[in-house]
Amino acid sequence: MRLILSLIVAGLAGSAVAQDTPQAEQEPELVGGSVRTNVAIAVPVMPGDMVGRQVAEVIASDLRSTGLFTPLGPGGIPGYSVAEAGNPAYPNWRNAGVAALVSGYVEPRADGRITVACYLHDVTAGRQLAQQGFAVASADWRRAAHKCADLVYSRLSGQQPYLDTRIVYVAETGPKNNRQKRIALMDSDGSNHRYLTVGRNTAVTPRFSPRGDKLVYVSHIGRRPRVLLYDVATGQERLLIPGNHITFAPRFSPDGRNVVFSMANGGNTDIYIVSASGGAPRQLTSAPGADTSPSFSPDGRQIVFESDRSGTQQLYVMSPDGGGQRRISFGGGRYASPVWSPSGNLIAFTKISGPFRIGVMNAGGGGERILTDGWQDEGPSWAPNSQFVMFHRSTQGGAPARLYAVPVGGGAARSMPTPVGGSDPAWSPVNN
Amino acid sequence: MNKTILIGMAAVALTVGACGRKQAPPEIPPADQAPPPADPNSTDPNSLEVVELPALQADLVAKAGSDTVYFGTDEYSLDQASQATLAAQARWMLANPNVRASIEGHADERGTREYNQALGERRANAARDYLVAQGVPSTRLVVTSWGKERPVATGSNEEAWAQNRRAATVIIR
Amino acid sequence: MKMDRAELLGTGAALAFHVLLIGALSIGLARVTSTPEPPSMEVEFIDEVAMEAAAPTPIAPPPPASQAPEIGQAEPELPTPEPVVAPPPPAPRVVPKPAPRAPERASAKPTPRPATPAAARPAKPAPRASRIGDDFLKGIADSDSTSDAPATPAAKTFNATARTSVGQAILRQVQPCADRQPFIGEGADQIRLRINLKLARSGRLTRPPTVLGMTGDPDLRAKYGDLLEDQVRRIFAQCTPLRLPADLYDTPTGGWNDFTFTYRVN
Repeated sequence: MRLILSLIVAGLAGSAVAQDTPQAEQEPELVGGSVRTNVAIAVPVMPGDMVGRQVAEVIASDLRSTGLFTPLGPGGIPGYSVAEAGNPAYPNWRNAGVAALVSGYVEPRADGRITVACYLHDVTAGRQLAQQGFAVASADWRRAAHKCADLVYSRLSGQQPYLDTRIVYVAETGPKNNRQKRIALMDSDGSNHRYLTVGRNTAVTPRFSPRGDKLVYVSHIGRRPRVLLYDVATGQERLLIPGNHITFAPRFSPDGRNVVFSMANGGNTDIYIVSASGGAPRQLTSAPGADTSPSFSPDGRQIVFESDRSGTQQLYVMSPDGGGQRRISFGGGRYASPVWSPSGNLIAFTKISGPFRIGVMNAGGGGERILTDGWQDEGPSWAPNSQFVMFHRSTQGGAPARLYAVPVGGGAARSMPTPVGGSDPAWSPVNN
Repeated sequence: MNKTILIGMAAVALTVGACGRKQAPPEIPPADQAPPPADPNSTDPNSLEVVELPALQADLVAKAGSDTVYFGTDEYSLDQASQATLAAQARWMLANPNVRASIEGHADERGTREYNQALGERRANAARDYLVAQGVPSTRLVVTSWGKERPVATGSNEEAWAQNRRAATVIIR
Repeated sequence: MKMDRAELLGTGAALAFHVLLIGALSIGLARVTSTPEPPSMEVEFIDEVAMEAAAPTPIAPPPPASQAPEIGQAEPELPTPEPVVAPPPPAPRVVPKPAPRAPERASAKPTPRPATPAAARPAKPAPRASRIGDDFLKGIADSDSTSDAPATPAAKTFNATARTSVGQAILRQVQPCADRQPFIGEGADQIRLRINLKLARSGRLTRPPTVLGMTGDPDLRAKYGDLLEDQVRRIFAQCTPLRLPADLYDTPTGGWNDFTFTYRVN
C-alpha cells in the first residue's frame, strides 16, 4: 500500500510519463470469459454406509438436471475414506480434469437416524467452498441428498436452491378419447411418486399453497368442473365454494389465505376471490368475455390474468380488489395462462401464434422472449428460484403430453421424469 | 314400481303446475331415485353426483336425430343445422318431462386448457338458451363444460377438431 | 425471563464454549460452519460436519496414475497439472539484468518448482535494454530479439509506464485462464471487483487474492460477488507462477510484489 501511494505521488508529480491520471482510471482491468460451458464436477460414492452410493447418485442426477454441470461418478471414479472427505487430494482431482468435487460421508447416529455430511470443493483453486451436515431418518436419505445438491448448486450458481422440492401434476393415461386424468405427486427427480386422486373423475390444474401443505385443483364431479381444496398430509378435501357452480383455474394468494379462481355462468366467465377457510366469494372482473388463469404477484399487490374481452386472449393486470385492470400484452398473437415468477420480475405465459410456445415477459409488460419451440407447449409454472419454467408439451396425434422444464435464460427444455404422460405441472416451494 | 311413482308424480305436478305457480307441491314425498336437491351449503364433493340414463339417451338420438351440435373454431354461435337439431331435442324434452338434461360444451385441443373450460361453457350456454327459447323449462337443464378434456375424435387435424367442438345434450335423472 | 442456578451455570458454560469456539474458528483450528435453526422435523442442520476430518489425519497416498485415465471426460477448462510446466507461447521470459544486478539474477533463477525443467528458464545474457521504455516488455515476449541500448544500472524506477507495462504483462499471462471462466448468470457482468495480489519473487501468490471492494447493484453483488471472487482465485491458481522482470519486483517506488486490478466478466 505504501508503495502504491508513493506511486501516486510520483505520478502526480509528473515524472516524465504520459499518463498522469488518478489511480482508479489507470487500474488494469481483467475480463473473464463467461464461457457457456458445464462445470465438470466429480461426485464419488460417499463412504461410511451403503446408502452413500445412492446419495451420490441422487446428487449427481440432481446436478445434471440443472443443465449447469457435467457430473462424473459415482461409478467409475475413485472413492475416498471418511477422513479424506474434508481434505481431498486436490492435485489428483485436477489431474482427472474436474473443476469441482462433492464429497461427504454417511454415519449412523445414536438416535437411530443418519448423518449425511456434504462438502463442496473448488478443485482448481484447491479449497473448500461449503459444507453442511444433515441429520435425517434413515429412510429419508433422499432429502439429505437433495439438500446437498442444492448446497452445491446454490454455491456455484449464485441462485436460490430448488432441487429439494416436489412436483404435482396431472398424470394422463389411456387413449386420447378416453383418457384418465389424475392428480399425482412426486419428488422433483421423479421418486416417491404417488397418486392423490383415484381417477374416477377427470382432475386438472393442481397448484400448491405457498407453504406446500395444500393443493387446489379442478375435478369434474357430477359432470361439472369444480375447484377442490386438498390437504396434502391428510388427503382430506372439500369444495372451495359450496353449491353447484362451474369453477376452475384456482390459485392461492401468496399469503395462503385466499384463492382466486374463475366461475362460468350464463356464457360469461369471471374471476373471483374467496377465503381459503370458507365464505362468500367476491367478484373481481365483470367484463363480457372469458376472464381466467389468474396469478398473484409474489408481493400480493397485483393479479395477472388472461381475458378475451378485446376479441382475442390477452394478458391483463389488476389489483386484488379488481381495480385498475389494464392490458400488458401487445405482441402479435394470443397470450394465455400467465404465471408470475416467485422473484416478481417476470411473467411466464403460453403464446399462441400458430404453434403454442412458452414465453416470458417483464412483469410490467415488454421484453418478451420465447423459450420453447414445440408444436403445443402450454401451462407454464415456475421453479421456486425463478430459474426454470415447467410446462407440458403435446404432439400431434394421440400420445399423452409430457412434462418439460426449460431454463429461463434460454436453453434446451429437458423432459421431467414422470412414469406416465403428464400435464399442468406445479412446483412446490423448497421443502423445509 | 318406481317409474310408476315418478310418472304419477310428474303427472300430478304437471297438472298442478298448469294451474299456477304457487300451487302446493305434490304430497307424495320424492322417491329415492329422484335427484336429491343439491344442498347449497354443502362442500362435500360427494353431494354432487349425477346419473346418466343411457336408454333415454338412445331414444333422444333416435327421435331427434342427434344429441350433439357443432361449432366453428373459437365460436359459440349456432348455425342453422344446429338450430334444427336443438329444436328437435326440445320437442323430445317436452315429450319426456320426467328427466333433465346436462348440456355439455366441449372444445378442440387447439386452445389452452382453462380458456377452453370457458369456451365450453359458452357453447353449452348457447345451446341451453336455444332449448329454453323452444319451451324447455330452464329448471330441467343444467349447463356444464368439459373444456378440451373429452375429445371424441383423436386426430390432430381439422376433421378431428371439428368433431370435438360441440355441445352434447346428456339425459340425466 | 428468570433463570435458576442450573440454567445460569449451563448458560455460562455454553457462553465460555462459544468464546473458545469463536477463538478456535478465527485461528482456523476448527472448520465448522454456523448453521441455521433446524427448521423442521425432517431434516436438521447439524454443527459438526468435520468431526473426523478436522483431526490431523494424514492424507492417504494419492491413487496410482493408472486410475486417472478412467475419467476421460474432461472439460476444455482443464487446469494445467502442476508437475508440467507449459508456459503459454506469449509468456514473457524473465531476463535477468546485466552485472550490477547480479544478486537479483542469482535469486531469480532457482524458483521453488522442482519439476521445472531448467531449460524452461534460461538465464539469458542481457544484451537487451534495461532502460525502462514504453516497449520494455516487448523484447521479453520475443525473447530472442534484442534492443541494443546499453544497460543502465540506475533504471529501477517503478514509474507509471513500468506499472502499466507490468500490469499488462500480468493480465496477458492470466488471460487464457480468465477466458475459460464459465458464464455466471444474468447481470453478473455489471459487477466489478477490485482485487489486490501479493506476489513472491517466484511469481506465485503469497496469499489468496484480496477483494478490496465491489461495485454494482447490491442485489447482484449479494448474488454473484462470491462467484466472481471464486473465479479470480481459480484464475490465479491456474495461471501462476507469473513471469515478470525481477528488477521490478520491489523497487523504492513500487513493484509487482503488490498488484491491484479490477475484475469483471463479459
